[in-house]
Amino acid sequence: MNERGALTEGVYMILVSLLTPRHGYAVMQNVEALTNGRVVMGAGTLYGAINNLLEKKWIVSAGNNPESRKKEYVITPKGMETLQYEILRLGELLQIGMEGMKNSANSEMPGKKQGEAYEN
Amino acid sequence: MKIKLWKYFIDEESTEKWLNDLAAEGLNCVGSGFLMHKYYFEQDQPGEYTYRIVILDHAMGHPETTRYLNFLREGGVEYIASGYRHFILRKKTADGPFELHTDRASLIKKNKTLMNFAIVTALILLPIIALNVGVTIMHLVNRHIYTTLMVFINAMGAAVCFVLFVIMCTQWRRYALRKRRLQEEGAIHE
Repeated sequence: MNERGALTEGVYMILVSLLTPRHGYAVMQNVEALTNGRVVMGAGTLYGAINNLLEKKWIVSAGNNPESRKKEYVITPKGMETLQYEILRLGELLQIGMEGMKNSANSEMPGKKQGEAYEN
Repeated sequence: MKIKLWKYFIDEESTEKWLNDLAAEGLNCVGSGFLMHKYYFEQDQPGEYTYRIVILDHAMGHPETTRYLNFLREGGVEYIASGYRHFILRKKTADGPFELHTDRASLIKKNKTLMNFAIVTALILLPIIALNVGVTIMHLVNRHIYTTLMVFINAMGAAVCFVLFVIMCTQWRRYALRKRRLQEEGAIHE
């Protein structure tokens, strides 16, 4: 598997959330809060993703939270490197898109419905 | 007071809907038996819980299953009962929506598991149908020994199993189409 491939939205959000140690449920809440409720992760999906990331050593178990006694996770240097690369990649994509829109004749139509720009 | 109900469903989606409809009326499932054909309910507040049925890779007691259920419990998900690899889980409705699978890969995997269950059931039914048909023919041939009732019972057995077989094949196809659609969408969206 390509280690430099695009990350799924879920994995990206988990890595960002685990810049601070958090337990699974807190990751779910954080992702929802950061995206204003747009990205809601199911517990099963999160469990699978966390296990995959542990296996890849992008995150590690940071022990149990002394208050809640829930298992916490945190990003590793390897995970951090992947995340930094992904942020650069996303930045590049964003820039390409913005430039493309700027140079396009149809770009000044923010109010137009999807698809209408192509009919002209 | 515990209420006991027997029910047979061909798929977990219908079971899940049934449990949620009853929970909305205040009948909360608190247990199950007989490979999830017998259910126990308790009367409580209507709509207090949302129920989900999941099929896991391993049955109850396997360390992986225990780890998964512990993880879910941290998020307020309660284990209710299981039958083989099917698990009944619930979460307080006030704690937000209860969805377990939200990404494409797990949805594809879920449909694949459902496909496997449908096809295995269908394959188990095949020899039973063959046996029933065989015995029916044997009885028809030896009419001087066997009664019409015996022929009728065996023919009915074959017919019922055949209908179940067709239902299972239809289910398999439904999940297969759903899985394919998910995979096709995956080529465009994440």
